[in-house]
Amino acid sequence: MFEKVAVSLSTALTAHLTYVCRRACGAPVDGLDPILRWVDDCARAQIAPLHLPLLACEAAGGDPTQAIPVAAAWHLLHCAAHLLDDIVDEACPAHESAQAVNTAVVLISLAQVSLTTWEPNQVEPAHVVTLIEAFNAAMARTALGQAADLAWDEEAATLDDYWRVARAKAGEFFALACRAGAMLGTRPQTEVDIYATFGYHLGLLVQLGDDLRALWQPRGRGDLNTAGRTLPVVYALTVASPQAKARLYALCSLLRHAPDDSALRELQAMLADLGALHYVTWQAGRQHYLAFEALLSSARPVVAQHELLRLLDAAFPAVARAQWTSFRFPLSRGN
Amino acid sequence: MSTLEALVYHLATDADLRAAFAADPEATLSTRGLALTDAEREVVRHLYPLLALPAEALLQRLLDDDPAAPWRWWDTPPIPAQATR
Repeated sequence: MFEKVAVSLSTALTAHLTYVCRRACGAPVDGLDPILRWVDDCARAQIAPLHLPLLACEAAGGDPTQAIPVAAAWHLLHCAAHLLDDIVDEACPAHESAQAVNTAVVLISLAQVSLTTWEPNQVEPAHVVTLIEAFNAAMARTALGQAADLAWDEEAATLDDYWRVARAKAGEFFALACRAGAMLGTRPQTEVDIYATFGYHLGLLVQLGDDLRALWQPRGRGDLNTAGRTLPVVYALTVASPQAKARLYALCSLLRHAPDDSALRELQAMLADLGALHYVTWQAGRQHYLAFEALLSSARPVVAQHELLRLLDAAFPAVARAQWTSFRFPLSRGN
Repeated sequence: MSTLEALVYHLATDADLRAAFAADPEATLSTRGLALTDAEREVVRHLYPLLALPAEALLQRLLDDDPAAPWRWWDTPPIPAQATR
């Protein structure tokens, strides 16, 4: 169903972003158009996460079209985070960093403007303030997660450190998409929390898929620079012998400074041998299950809920419901 | 290393354990004295054939996205020069 509305969502977002820019800047601004085209292109390429606020709104009992300003704001923040990540990961040349930071500030500011575009008869002003607060609180937590990521010490980092950063960055950010959407559909905090919890675990699942692809299907220098901060590597370092650990550090350092295919292949082989693929599978299955359980705790079996579950399955197809077995443990739960 | 991480490590490195796990995951977990949380038990219940695969076959499954899935998560178009220059 939502494949069919994907095009209309893109169109609605584009129209809304144009409106937001005009409202913020008045006449078209030199230099802004190409950036907005990129934001638009990203929206078409990342249509899946963009549905989150709309689906959460509808699943919680609201009108999804009311969530367009939330989807646009969240997408603008996503694009800003992408720019800032590229600077941090040194995927962007140093001399271009200042301009990229400025562009990110523009996008973050436009996100705030997007959240002020409802008429008072659509969403009452006090609730708009609550939504803006939710956005700003989540952004603050995400930025603090980024700070921990920046302070990452490869040789001292533990699995707990990995999860702390992943929760603050991916978990909080995806929780925001669902929380803000649900806030437009329902008011009881317990109901809103259900969708926030779903988004939180979905975000962690997306992060695990991202980590996996960064190592086995790297998209560029940024992925290789951050190999040492991915779950497969952090896990492998916790189970590796001292000699294997030293080699893992050396390979990650090599990939940062002088990447080559043979170093990447050796790292991939070591990670597989140390059980990193099994560990990621286990953790992905766990996050999928927790997101699934969170959504089932809502007493609203509507179409939008099924679409949220489809989206969850598509985030990491290997652990999707279609892969589940019907095996039953003979012992009672908790044994 | 927690028991969970130890089990996963041994699953990846021990073909006999993988075979035993695939045949009877509950017995394998009991033998190793693993106390799983409810969520972990559900993950094993749902995904034990996947966890019982050797690394190479598992990797294939992990990277093998469902081409029918309408949702796209990973694509980000290149950042335009105007955003950074």
